[in-house]
Amino acid sequence: MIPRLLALVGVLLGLTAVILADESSVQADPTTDFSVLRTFSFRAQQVQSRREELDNPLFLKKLAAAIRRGLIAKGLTEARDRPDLLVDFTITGEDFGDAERRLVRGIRGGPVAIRQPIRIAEGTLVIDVFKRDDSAPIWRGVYRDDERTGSKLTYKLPQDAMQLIAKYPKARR
Amino acid sequence: MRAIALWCLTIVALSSASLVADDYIVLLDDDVDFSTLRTFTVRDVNVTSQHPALGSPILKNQLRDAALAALTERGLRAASNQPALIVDCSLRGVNFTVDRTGRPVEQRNTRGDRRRKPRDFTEGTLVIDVTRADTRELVWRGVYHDSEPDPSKVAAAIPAHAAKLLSRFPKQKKP
Repeated sequence: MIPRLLALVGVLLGLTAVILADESSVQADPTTDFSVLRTFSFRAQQVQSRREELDNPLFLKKLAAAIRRGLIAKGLTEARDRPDLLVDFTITGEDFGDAERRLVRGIRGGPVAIRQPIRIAEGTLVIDVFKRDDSAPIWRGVYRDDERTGSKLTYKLPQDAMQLIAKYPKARR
Repeated sequence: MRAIALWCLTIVALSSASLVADDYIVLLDDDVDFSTLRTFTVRDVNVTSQHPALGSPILKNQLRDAALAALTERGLRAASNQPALIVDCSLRGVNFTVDRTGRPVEQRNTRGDRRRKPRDFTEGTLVIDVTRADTRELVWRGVYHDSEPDPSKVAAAIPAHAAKLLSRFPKQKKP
């Protein structure tokens, strides 16, 4: 009984499940007073992906709408004429294959590990905010999202954008 | 003996479960009033695949017919002269090999290469684009991914996938 239990513990410890964890980071220029920068406009919007669900103007529009909602919630206003801030965003999509190990019941009742091929759709969203006359961004948000399917990634990325923008400093009313 | 057979069946079913999963999504322009766009034409059916079942002209016609039927069912009218909407379909087939570590790897175009490994599954991607004829703007896109060990099965299911995607197209109210 004990060797069986030890074997089971060994198998469980040896298993490394595929972890589909999201990663995000935000950087802000500490010398900038964000509270005085109240208007924004979108500039460059780019998708670098082979996935048809990401590489199209409809998805870009949805993503821009999510970012716009987030910035307006922070007290900023969209302005076409001489905005204080310019917003660029890029999506880079990549697909890769992985193997997930799963435990199934063996013939003699004990656990057996099998490898199951899976595909992962990864999308990295980068949002850059520039002062109108500057070439370097004053704020950058990066979100990397791994999902099992392209449809999930497409649904999730606008929410990811909202999460990033939620960390943008509030504008003074 | 029966237990061994059942066990083998379970292993096979579990290991192929992720390969036969379908995935689809529909994107549309929320700012477009689809009720004013009542006529359409199916313009182009473009296929990129080396497999004869996926590249078959019969499949192209089936895809065209499926799109016609599905959009007609949604209340739109097929029109060859000045349609409001233009429908383009594209189909891509990509083969995958599962390597020794269990990871799926995309097969490149290595026809004639002796080191080439046999195909383990094929992913078919169907994309249906609906564009406004007047502004040339994309207003609706449906994407369907289907992975099967047998590419003929992918090909056979494509018309049904097209119908499923287009069943999500905004329905026209009767005038």
